[in-house]
Amino acid sequence: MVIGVALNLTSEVAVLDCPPKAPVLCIKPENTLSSHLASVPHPDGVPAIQPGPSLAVVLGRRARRVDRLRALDYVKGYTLFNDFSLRETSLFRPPVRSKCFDSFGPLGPGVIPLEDPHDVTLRCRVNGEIRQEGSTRDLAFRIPELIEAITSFLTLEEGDAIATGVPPGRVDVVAGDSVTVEAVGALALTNFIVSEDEFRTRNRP
Amino acid sequence: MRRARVRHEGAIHDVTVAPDGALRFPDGGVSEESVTWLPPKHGTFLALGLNYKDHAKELDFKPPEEPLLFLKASSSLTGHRRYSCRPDGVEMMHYEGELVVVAGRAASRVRRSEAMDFVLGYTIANDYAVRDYLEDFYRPNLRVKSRDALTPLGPYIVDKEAVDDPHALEIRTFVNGELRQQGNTRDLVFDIPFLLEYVTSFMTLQPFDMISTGTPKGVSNVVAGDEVVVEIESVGRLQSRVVAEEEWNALEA
Repeated sequence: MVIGVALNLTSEVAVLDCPPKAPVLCIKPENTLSSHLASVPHPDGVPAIQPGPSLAVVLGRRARRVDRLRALDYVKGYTLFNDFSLRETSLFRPPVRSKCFDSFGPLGPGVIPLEDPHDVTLRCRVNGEIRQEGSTRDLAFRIPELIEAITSFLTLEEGDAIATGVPPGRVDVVAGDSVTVEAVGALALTNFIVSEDEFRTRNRP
Repeated sequence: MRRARVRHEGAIHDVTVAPDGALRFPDGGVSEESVTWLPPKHGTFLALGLNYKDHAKELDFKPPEEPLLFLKASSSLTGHRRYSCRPDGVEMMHYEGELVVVAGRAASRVRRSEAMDFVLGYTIANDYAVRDYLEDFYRPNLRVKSRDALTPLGPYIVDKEAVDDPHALEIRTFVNGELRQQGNTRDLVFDIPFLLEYVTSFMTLQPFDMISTGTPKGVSNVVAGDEVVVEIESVGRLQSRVVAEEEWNALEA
């Protein structure tokens, strides 16, 4: 399971009259999880889908009621998550249909250590061109706080991941595009957007 | 067939439950008293908000035009005769008795007319909510609904063949023996075939993935010590106890 965190960039929170009291979380369930170089469907009937470049924290052991001061002891390492979504017009209701199409959650390509996970430049390239950029310096809830907040009520298991936040400025992609999320200088996660029909043909059991 | 999952002498077993309540292990029967009930075998767990008109009204919402779905982490599920924690200092925690549909095979882009072919059976959830933690982002947010062991599920999955009409089942919730909630699945805003068509329009369901179909009118506060029973006609009777944080921590340790 991957837990995504919405509204977690300081610039997004700053403009809200009533900012969230706790991290805004969503579950990316099993059917959404996919990998580096996998294809991602552009569903019929929607104009575009949107990548969600994010640094993911991978848990190394069961984490329950973890204090932020000890939170990094539970971290196995870091990887990338691309939290694909339909365009979100509202954050009022859980984004189940928007974020839970099959393969809407590529994770990878490897788990690495990072000296400072709060100083990672995230980029999203579409067909090679940089279209979205941000930094984990700007996370509103930082990694130890996220781990503390989530595990205060929900036990995370080894291998679960937290996608820490998507930089603002979501971009549209369509079938035929290649999308790469980068932790600059460390990791790159590439996926190919295909039509729903092509996706089904490729993934036929 | 009624399928349950239990812990017995330290190991986890998928068992069947005979009409007289006896549990059949692959190697013979054992009495119900010596096991710990776990949530039945499950995969992804989806739940519905505001899926009964009378309940939507009671919470001052209009029934939604599109199913209001949310997801629950596996860690939020617990078994029959277990405990759910009422956090210290909260004002409102309420039960929600719900019929749960269990997928029987992989289901993708299923049409309403064939949807019931993909159903394995039914079980019961008590989808407790800790309302103090509600926020207007991704509401109902995980902190309200996806708390460790908050949601009793079970006691077992009943095969669909044992249920004549899943859209004509009485649901009753009792607190300390007092009937507090009563409804009927005929009043679902979105019925089971509709929900299966809707969910599988975007996600592939796998065997034992579940959709909890929402709760009728009649939610009310519960406190530590309350015994809560959800009873659904032809499906079963799911019992659990509300405990305070300190007791829960001791029980879970």
